Amino acid sequence: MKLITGTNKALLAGLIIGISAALIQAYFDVQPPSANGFCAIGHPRDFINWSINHSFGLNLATNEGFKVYPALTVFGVFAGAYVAAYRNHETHIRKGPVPGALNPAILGFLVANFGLLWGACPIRTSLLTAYGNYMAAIVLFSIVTGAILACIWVNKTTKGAINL
Amino acid sequence: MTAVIASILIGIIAGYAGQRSRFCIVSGIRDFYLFKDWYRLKGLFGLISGAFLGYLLFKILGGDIAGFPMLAINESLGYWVLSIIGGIGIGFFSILSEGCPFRQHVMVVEGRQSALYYLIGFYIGIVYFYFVTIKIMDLVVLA
Repeated sequence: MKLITGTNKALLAGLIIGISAALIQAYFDVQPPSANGFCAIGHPRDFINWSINHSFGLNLATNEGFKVYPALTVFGVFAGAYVAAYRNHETHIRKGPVPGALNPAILGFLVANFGLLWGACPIRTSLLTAYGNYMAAIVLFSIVTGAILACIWVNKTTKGAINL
Repeated sequence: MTAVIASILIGIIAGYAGQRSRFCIVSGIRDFYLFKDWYRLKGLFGLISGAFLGYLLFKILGGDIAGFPMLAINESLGYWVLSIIGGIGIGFFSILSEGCPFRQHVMVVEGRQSALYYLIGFYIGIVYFYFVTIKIMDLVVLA
């Protein structure tokens, strides 16, 4: 019981997402490419490019599994997260965590562009690592490196105030 | 059509589990690095082990887990370099925006305004990538 209520919720969430991603690859035709069960960059890209292709007759890149019909993963995420937040009274409009409107928009723009250079979000990078793809393991290591560099930079600009 | 239904289902599962647990890989790295807090980082270990066990199990059960384990990678040096730069960029800018793209999708339905602005920039960024960045990238890789 402690597994689902205590300090292991994130561990359990990771296990559930990992097993679900493997399950839908095995039985629901979401490939090629491999380990494409869940991606918070690739699936939104597939949806956007599918919409542009069908609206303007273009041929922007989409994964094979989502060429005929679009990937609707993000709508599922919105629905699932909303139900969870609503049930627990956690849906209030509030500012932050990043101040302003332009800063987060620029950061989102940059994450999309850097993410598409590699072609996957941290979750799918982990799925690919679990699939045995050593290139994904190296990219996962570079994500860790980038995150630590950002922590060091933030720590310096706040003059160590964030370091407990 | 099954892929579409599956994509919605896994989205619902991930969204629900992600909201209840505050699951986020880059925030896990940050929490561990700055505060020695393991809570979210356990999600990364759970994800990798759950996926590995899932791929193994469903392959044994006869599911379509093609090419597992994927041990041979044949990519150009340019793709390697761009992928590593991409990885560093994802990590760096996700820390500054307080969460990875998945976490931002969850935060926006919790009512976080900055997550909404982030997603506007994110989706503009996807379109921009395919109309501008990819052309610049081709020039750089081919040069």
